[in-house]
Amino acid sequence: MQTANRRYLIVLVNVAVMIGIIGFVSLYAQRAANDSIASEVNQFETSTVTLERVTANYLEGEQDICDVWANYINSRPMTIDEAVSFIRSSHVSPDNAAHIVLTDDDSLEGLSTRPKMGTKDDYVVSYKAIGLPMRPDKMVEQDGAINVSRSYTNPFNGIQSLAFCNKITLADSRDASKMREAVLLRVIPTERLEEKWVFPSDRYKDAEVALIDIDSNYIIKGRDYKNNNFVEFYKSYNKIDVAGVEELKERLATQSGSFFMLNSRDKECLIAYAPISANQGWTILKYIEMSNLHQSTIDWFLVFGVACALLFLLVFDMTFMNWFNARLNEAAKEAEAANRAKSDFLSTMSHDIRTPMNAILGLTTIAKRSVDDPAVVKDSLHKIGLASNHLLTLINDILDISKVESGKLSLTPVTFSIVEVTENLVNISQPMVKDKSIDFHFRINAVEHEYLFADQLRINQVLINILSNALKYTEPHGSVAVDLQELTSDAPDKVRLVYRVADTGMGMSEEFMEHMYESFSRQTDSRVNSVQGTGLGLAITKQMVDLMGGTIECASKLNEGTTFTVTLDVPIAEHEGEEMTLESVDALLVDDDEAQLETARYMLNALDAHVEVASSGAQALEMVRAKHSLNNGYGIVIVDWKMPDMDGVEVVRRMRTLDGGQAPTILISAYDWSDIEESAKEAGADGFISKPMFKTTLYRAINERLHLSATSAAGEDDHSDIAGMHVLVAEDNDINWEIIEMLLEMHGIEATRAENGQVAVDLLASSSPGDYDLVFMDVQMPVMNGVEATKAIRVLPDGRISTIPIIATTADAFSEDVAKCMDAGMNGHIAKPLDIKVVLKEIGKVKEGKL
Amino acid sequence: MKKSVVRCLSVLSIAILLVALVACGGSPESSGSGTSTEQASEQKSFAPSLDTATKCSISVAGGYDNFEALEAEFDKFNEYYPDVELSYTKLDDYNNIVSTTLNTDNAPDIYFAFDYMLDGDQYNAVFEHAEDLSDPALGIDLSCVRPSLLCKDDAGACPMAPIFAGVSGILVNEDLFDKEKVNIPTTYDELLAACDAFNKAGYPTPILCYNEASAYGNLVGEIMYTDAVKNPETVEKLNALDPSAGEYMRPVLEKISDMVKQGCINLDVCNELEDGYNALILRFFEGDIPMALCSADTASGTAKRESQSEAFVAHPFAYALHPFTLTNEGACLLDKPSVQFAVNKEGKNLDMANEFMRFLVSPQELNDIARAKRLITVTPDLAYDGVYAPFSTIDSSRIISTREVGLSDDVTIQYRVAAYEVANGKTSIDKAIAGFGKYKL
Repeated sequence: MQTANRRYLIVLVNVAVMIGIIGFVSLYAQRAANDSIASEVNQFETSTVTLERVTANYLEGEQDICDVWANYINSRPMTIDEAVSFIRSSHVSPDNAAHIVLTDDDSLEGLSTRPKMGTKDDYVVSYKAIGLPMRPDKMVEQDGAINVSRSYTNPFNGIQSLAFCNKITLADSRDASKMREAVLLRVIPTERLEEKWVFPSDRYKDAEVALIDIDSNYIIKGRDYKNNNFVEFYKSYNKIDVAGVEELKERLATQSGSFFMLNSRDKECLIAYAPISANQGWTILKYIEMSNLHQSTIDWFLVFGVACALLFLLVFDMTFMNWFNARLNEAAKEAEAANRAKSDFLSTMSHDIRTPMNAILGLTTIAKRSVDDPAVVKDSLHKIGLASNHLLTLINDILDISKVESGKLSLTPVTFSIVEVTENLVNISQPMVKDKSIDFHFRINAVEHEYLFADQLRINQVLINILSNALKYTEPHGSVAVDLQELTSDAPDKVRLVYRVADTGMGMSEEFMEHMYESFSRQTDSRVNSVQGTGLGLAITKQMVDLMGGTIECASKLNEGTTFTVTLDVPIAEHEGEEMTLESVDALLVDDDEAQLETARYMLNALDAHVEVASSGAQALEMVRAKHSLNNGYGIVIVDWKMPDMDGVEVVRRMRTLDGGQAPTILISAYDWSDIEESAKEAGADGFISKPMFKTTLYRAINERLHLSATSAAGEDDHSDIAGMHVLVAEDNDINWEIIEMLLEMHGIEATRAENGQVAVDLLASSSPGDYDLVFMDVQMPVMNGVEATKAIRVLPDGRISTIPIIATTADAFSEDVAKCMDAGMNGHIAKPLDIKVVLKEIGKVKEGKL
Repeated sequence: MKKSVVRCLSVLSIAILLVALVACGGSPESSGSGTSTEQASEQKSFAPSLDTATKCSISVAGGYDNFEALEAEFDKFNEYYPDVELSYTKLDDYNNIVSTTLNTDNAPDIYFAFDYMLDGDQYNAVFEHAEDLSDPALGIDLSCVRPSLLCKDDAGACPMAPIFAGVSGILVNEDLFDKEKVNIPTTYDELLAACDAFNKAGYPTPILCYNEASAYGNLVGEIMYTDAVKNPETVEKLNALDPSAGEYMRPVLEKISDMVKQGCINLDVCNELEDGYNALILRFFEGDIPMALCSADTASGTAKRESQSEAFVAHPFAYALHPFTLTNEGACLLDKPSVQFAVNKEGKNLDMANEFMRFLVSPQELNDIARAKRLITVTPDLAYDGVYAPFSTIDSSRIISTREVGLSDDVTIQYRVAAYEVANGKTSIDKAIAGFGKYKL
């Protein structure tokens, strides 16, 4: 709520600031415009005053001429004819004329200096009809005074004119002693005066000038001045009261200035006025529409631009703010989720670690108290081992998922045998298969390439995870079927491995499947809870498959079972296998599984063997008998152990009783054959092959039988050949040292301890060749770590010592740790906790010179 | 909720911006042009036929001191032709000077012309310069003018187009008639009855008039023309100012004498008027004059003088110009053109002058200019202005075209002077009749 209020406040402040800025810009622009208008008005007034001066000068000039004429006429007695003649001789401009009008009678007649329009000799002029354009009694007689008439129509030519006047006295034409009063009018078309009103620039080209008299009647008017009286014009289009009219008249007559008014088109105009100083009562007006005078200086484009920019800024800010808040919310949620995940993780870990630890500690206590009861001790130790293995798996998974999530998981490709991987897979799965009496099938389909180049460890991990899940979540007596198929890959030099594991286990709900690849996700089911698991296996598997560019698919139905399908494109290794051929070997294949039978026949055909097949034990026996009757026999008989009518052991036993049934026999089993080994050998079996069968394993088994060089399966556990070897163990931890010393001693191997890397280097440097067969090198040690020690050993001067096999024994179990060890010059890597089988296997390799 | 509030604020800010911009962007020019557009749309019947960018000047010359009504038409014409400068100039002693002016370099493009000018040789120049406005090529729609006002010369040409019509009547203070419960008279008897009622009510004079011979045309015109229409054979004799035709004046002189005797006109009150035109209106606005006899030219000055009359401003009342009759047959409308415009065919901008006339001679513009000038329109729409609305009730059969009747101006002078003499008791009816043909203004 508080956040929402804050957001509204920010938006409101933004809007307020935006409006404020626009208002400020507008006001500023308006103020600038007002200043500009004031300046324009001032200049317009000034130009009007200038115009007034021009007008006054003109009037004074014209009046001066009139005065000169009048003075001359008055200076001597002249008749009207003489006066007109005198003036006529003084005329310069053809447009001007002079009228002398007698005013001492009502006729208002006189003479003109120019003939009447359209005549040549009619000089008689009469002002009777229109009256004199100014009253003689109003004329000022002193020199310099302007006596100018109103604008009137010249009765002689019909042209609007002004007249500059002076009183004159004339001698009567008929009686020279009699004097007549008259008025001399110097008549000038008003156009002449208008011509004086030339504006200095185009600035006021639209301005119009008017000249008004004391009553505001126009003497001269421009086209936009309406009415015949300026004040009436003003009143027609502007509100003004009687007092206002008087005040306006007063202003116009006595001072210069300006004011605004509306014209006949309802447009605002500026009127500047200046009284003509030379002629009291006259005022010059200058008029201009404001639109012509003042071009708006407000840059509306600027205002609009600012407004748009501010609007954009507001919208952008709001959008960005919303986006940023959303991101913050998201981040907060993620952080909260991460925090919760960490808590969940720690809680889960605490629980998952404490569970096996509880078992280990509890069983250890039980074993201690039951030292005298070997059965209890053995059982306790067995369970401690299981719990320890689970704990180790859990720790490995945690480390893996940590690596995955931190993005530090990298692949370390090596050349490996898919056959070995599969064998290992089967071996690992056998204990659980047997424990739960699971119907286990492992089929190999068209696996042509044994050696591949990939991260064996990770592939192994993927395959084991999926298979172990299937076994774990399948009820006893259920079924688990594994199919490994090699397909052609779209990528060159790769094969596509399709690994499909189908079980008849408890299955998964759709809800769970939606997030089954998330860490620590385990289906909520009482049956699941009874199964040990970290909830990390699938997450790790999915991450690793993704990392290897593969796919993992799952189809599952609750209570019916699950099928996982992993597809990986794996590069083919350059390693060339040994040349395998079973040319001229007649083989009999016996299996009730048609697919298995077909696969095996395909393999043997590929090895150039001549293959015949039997789908049951009885058929096989019949075929052996028939072959023998033709004085022939099979070179080798390969019999599946589990067959419905007659198992493999029975087939071998019966075959041995037949004539010709002495061919070497190999039993095929998907299970650990140790349980049947004794009875099978007793029945006459010569060897065993584990399912799934590969071409390689088939070839080797047959080859060994036919050359009588078969190695007993049990031989793998025979480590008698490594007894007497001498191993240097670089180990700083006393317990670890004690464990490995005891384990090695159990197999007759002598061990010497080096407390750190430096000691190991020194011991080797001071040793003689042959003193040590290999070195087990811990990595993290004081003084000198294992990597540095290895590097130091590899540079020892004695080549026979510096090339001694060195195998890392370290808790640093990641692939990059392995790579680091190998880069330092080590020959192998065994992760702690040490599996004695692995240790012995590595020692065996040294013994065989394979390292 | 949050989103909607933010959205509302956004819309609000945009709206504020737009309103601000629109408000700021509005300029006096734009509002002015809006008015122009409205005006232009009102005049959509007029379509310019010349290049509207034409630059030229058109001058109109006339005898009116003030012709704001025409200047208003200039402004409207400038909506179409903004660069045409139109100006009106009043010529002093117009009738005598116009011929001279037409022969100068400054001759006007359009000028006033009057019916009576057709009768005088001194006005020959007026028509020598006048263009035939009935020429179809000009496109001037003279059909919008009442036919009784159109003047054509012997050749059938129409040298001038009527702009205003002239009419006489009585300005009636309608509030006083309501107050005194008197009907506005439509016959002579009703007039006498109304005058009697107002006299009894103590009003200074039932009828106010300007007591000058020139103003008596408003009194005598109706009977003079109706008699001439009824007896057309008298026209020739009257125009010839045959003394024996003086007898034709008897009916109207008897009516006028009778009116004065009946107290319809208190000449003492009328004689207080110093200026026939201005004073009569201001006196009428005093509010105690039921009727004022005047022409439409006088009535046209009422609008502007309302504000000049403190009495009227303080106590305004309803008034209108009503037909005036001295018969019991009902009033006639003496339809005569007042001001007519002629176009100078030698004008420097003849095409534009004709264009302006084409613009002006339309029902809308003729009514507008008449309304502005407060004169009777020359279109058939007599009710366009409330002041003259009563004339629209006159039956068309009682509209008399004075031009068609053909009485000369000299005849009207004989009637006016004789009526003045009789009304003022300066002479008897018989002597006034005997003076026919000798009277001058």
